[in-house]
Amino acid sequence: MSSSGGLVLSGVRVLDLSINRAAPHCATMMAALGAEVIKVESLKRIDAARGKQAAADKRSSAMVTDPDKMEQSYAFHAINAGKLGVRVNLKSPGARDVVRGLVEISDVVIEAFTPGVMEGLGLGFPEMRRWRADVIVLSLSGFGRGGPQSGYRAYAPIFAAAGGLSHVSGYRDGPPMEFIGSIDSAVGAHALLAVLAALMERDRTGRGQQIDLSGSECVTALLGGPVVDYALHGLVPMRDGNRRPGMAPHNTYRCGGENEWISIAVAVDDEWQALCRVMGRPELAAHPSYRDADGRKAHERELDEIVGLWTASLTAYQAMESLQAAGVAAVPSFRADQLFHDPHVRARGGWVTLQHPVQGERHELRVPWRFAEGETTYRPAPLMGQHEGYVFGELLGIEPVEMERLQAQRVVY
Amino acid sequence: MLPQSLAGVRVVEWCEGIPGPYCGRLLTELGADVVKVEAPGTGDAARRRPPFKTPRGRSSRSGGLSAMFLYCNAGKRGVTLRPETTEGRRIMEALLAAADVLIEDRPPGLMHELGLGYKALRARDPRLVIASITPFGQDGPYARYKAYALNLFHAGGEGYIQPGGPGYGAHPERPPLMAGGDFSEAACGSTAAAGVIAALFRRGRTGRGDHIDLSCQEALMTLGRAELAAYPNAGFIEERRNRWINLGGLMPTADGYVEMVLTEPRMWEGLVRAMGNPAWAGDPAYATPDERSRRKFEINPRIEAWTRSLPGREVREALQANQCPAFEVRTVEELAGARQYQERGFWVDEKDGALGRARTPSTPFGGPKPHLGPAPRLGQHNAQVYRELELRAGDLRRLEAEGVI
Repeated sequence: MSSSGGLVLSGVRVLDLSINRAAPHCATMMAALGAEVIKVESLKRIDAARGKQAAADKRSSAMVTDPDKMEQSYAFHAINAGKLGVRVNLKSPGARDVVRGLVEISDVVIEAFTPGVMEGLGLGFPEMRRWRADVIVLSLSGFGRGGPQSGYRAYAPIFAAAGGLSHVSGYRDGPPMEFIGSIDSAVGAHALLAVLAALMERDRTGRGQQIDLSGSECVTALLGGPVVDYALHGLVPMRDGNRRPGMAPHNTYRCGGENEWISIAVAVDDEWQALCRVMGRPELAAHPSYRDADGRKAHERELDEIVGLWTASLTAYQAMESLQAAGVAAVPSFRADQLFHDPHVRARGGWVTLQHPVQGERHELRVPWRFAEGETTYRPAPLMGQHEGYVFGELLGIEPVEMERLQAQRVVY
Repeated sequence: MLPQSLAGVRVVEWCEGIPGPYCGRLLTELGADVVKVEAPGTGDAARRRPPFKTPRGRSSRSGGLSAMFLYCNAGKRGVTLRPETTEGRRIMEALLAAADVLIEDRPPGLMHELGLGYKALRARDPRLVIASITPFGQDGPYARYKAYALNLFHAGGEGYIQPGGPGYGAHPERPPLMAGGDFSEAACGSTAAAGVIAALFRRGRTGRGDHIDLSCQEALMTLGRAELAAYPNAGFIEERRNRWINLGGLMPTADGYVEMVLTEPRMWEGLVRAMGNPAWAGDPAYATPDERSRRKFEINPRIEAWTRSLPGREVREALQANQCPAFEVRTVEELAGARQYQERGFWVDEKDGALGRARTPSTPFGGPKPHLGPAPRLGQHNAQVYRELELRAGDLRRLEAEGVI
């Protein structure tokens, strides 16, 4: 966790022009890996994540304009921790020169505008490459660059619907599942891997590139089985809740505690025998209907009832501990509060504590890679324009008089 | 270009199922040479995952080639080896001596017992990058806990808040759900691959390898980091009943469902134009975003009355023409025919002697696409790979007879 091998992405600088979640997630992971990430925002284009307010009942998708509220979003903090913040109004006439200066000092530029928007601002890849020959530009969009739907607008739920995930998720007799947030981050995680690969290639060849990443294609690539089973067998799968072929019991079951559920999955006979022992129902283990996987699958509904009756008298943690001790795959359907306090997550140092100048103490997840040698680093998310002195003054060498002019002309705004 | 970005990187993969092999697939897509190590006789358990394709090209539930195995392992070279034996371990060490990366998913502690733990391997080759991919990581109280895909998804916290919206509304009493397909396990694999490449990047700068302890639970928690952070930082727990998209969301159409997300005021205006400016939408009560938000349970049924009257494709086209994010919920069959995917070269027609042709995803990165080729038959590349290690043919025959390879 803390080692002395140097930051993983030491010496890498990233210019993050993106808002919302998918591309910002990629940039935040890079910041934790040790890259210096400069996030560009503007009062003309406030990141919608800044609008997620502190309490559930106040959440609204409306744009925030109140400067105080803008700094209070826990969601913006989670998605943008570790970045430096500057303001540039990309649509103002003087913005191009400022962005040019930022591109010249950056190894990677991250943007997630609808294809065509950057070009319209005079900030397309050919321009950026003129400013910095080996620049790596990540262009993330819903449907990719080129093709008839390139200009389509998309957010996470659209990636999931268009990419095939929604249709195969949900109760069999219910509507398809909506994916609101985590799909964005899954796409951002794919973006991260592409950017890192491009950095490797640049180190070897000296060349940069533009990465044209499609969110819907990422979802399809991650979907796996349903896509390849159709390719090979022509099967069009239907969503089926928590059920999966060949496995039963295989579901989440209500536990005794309030809003507590446990996921239990049985694949092989040994696991079934162990489950019956732990439930105190040895007669079920010997029951001919349930002896093999086919039999259990055929009687899945009644098994769900039997298991559910047993879990109802236990907390999710009690069920996990007794079943895992017997070799049965059982894990609670964890709530956020459980994961925050969970002894395993804690033992692995899953959470870090940060001090935010407005929000105070913030708790964020560590990155998911525990490196033995490479170091990671954590700092809070930026206030709007918090690091302009360092970025514009020190890194770009813009004089105070010039800064005043840029602010007066609402270029830095 | 990305398909060559890991050219020259040699990977040994000792993994089964999806997270590790999908990690290996991504490294293959990016140009790495991946040697997959499997147990003699049985191989990767994913080989036995139905449905299968028989050697004659027919579908079968009982035996043949598993589609998901073919997908995750396309383009790798395959060897059989039992590293648990003394000679098997020596061969593994020889494989690793010629490798840059090891990805493994053995139960925590096993590699150490075999003398193949991080410290032992690092002592031999400080440049080696090792990724250990397990459900709960190498240490901590749950390190040896068992988890299938269902358990992993719920371990990460996303299960508890699924389904929200209309799925929850239809069946609020039912249990929380995992995502469909292999999404969660594949996402663990892509997280692992990013860690491997990050470590390779650092190695390029420092000359030093690393060990990545990847917990699939933490990989999935990371995807939900904003939802999880609501508890410690904003004092509330995300619940299925609160997971509604404000305006729009999932709507039934004449032939399925469409998803629309209307977050900005101009998107409301776009929707109204797309619907053909119905009189109800001009109601002054709907004039501001806050008012519309308050009246969403009144507005959404009216939007739904419109979407129900049209095929999903027409709803999507009307909305997108007015700059509103929307798309119909597509089946895999519709994806296979999707023009956007075809024009971008997302689908590749992989040829495999045993299978005929199959259309599979290439990579979600635009530009030139890698040609991965088929997945290996069990032990297909034993002779080739072991000859590279200068094992003699006589030794190979003996090791085979002894069940080591």
